Amino acid sequence: MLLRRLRRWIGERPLAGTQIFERQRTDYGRAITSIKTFYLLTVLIPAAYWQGLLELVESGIPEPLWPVRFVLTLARPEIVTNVFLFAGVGAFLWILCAPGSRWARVSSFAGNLLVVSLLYSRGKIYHTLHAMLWMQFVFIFLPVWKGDGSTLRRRDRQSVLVTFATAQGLLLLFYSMSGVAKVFDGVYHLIHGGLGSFSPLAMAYQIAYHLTSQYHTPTLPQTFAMNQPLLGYPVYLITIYVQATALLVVAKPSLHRVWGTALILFHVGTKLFMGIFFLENTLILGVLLVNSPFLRDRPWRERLRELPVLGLLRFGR
Amino acid sequence: MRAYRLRTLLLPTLGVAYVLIAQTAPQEIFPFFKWNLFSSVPVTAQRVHVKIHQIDGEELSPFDLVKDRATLRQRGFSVPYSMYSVRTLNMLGACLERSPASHWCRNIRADFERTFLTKVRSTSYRVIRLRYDPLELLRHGKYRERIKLASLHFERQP
Repeated sequence: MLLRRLRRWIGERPLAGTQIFERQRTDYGRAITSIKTFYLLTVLIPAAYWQGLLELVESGIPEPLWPVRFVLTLARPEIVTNVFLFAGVGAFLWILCAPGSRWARVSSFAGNLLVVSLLYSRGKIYHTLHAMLWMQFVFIFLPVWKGDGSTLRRRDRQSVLVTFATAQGLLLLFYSMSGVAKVFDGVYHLIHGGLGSFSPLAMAYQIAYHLTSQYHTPTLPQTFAMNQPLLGYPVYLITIYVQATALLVVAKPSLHRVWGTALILFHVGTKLFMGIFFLENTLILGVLLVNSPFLRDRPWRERLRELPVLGLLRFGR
Repeated sequence: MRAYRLRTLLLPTLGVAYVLIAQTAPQEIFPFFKWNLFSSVPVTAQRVHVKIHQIDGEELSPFDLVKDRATLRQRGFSVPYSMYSVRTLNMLGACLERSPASHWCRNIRADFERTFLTKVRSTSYRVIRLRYDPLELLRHGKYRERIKLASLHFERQP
């Protein structure tokens, strides 16, 4: 009850009685398709890191993370790691054949946890695969189904939708945490002085710092962004807004596609200007938000009114 | 019905727990993360450089261990460039600054020499800390401060 009130307060609209069941059926079908697509991605992406993983294990693991720490205690860690990698592939194939099986989902999560832990055991934890790992964790809580899931009861179908929305919420929470940290920094420096996230030079400094700390030579777009900071300034501010308010969008289905697309563009921009790319996140954003099962078509003016925080400005009648 | 209700509580519970663990942990606990990427503007930065000026008894014009990759390759060095190696350099700088004679620092120095100086019998090198404004460095190539932390000699044990 409290949760429903919170969702309504954020902006979710109530539906008439007959509409609810109709909508649940269509949303459920789309959610199942998105979940299957998501698990397809979980198979493809660790496969891309395969060679790197094997090289890492052969050259030694400098700082093993807790899930793989025991590997180092073994006499022949490379053999055990290979066994785990093959077991991981088995789990991935299993989940593709039976996404409705909870054990398959648990195995898939455990397999990915091992792969990601190994990848991040080189003395620095990267974060490109975190979102995927957490989505896999949330999907463990999906109800169990057989076949294409068409025989599930209404309550279980609703459970699928709730769990899917949880995954969307958690993904958006990560972006909100990042955005809110920038807002705090910006406000702090507006009050106390100095260069903060709201400064026109903020983006130029981020690019310059990244280039110098990694010993890279600037590319043409990077040079342009550093020399013409005012041109990139509005985009930088919009990015902070999109990130900071991302979590609020979970209760606004008509904005799922807009926010998903905006966050993908943010990742493309980060690649272009800083050389950092969260490929996995862009794919997950595509599956969970751009292709959200809860998508609603609304006129643009109505969507503007639904914009988090800015919607309070009341765009038109 | 109970299972459904539990699921409706999953997002708020998981969200709150995630934020609490990520934000309050003194160190990053995998797979929790603060997601504070690029949240502050790096107006000043610093890095540790290692300048090599002698290899196997031959005096050289000093070259940078990470930056001058072409010279390094010519000299037969493997350059294990990764965040791990950059961190090793930073740790070497930090320990030489704070307690160069400590056991901790000897271990870091051994780790550094094992990682970087794999193909030389002996070498002399200087460890320098550089402070800079990233934009100024890229535009004008200027460092704000150079501090020599140590001059060291490495001799491979037979």
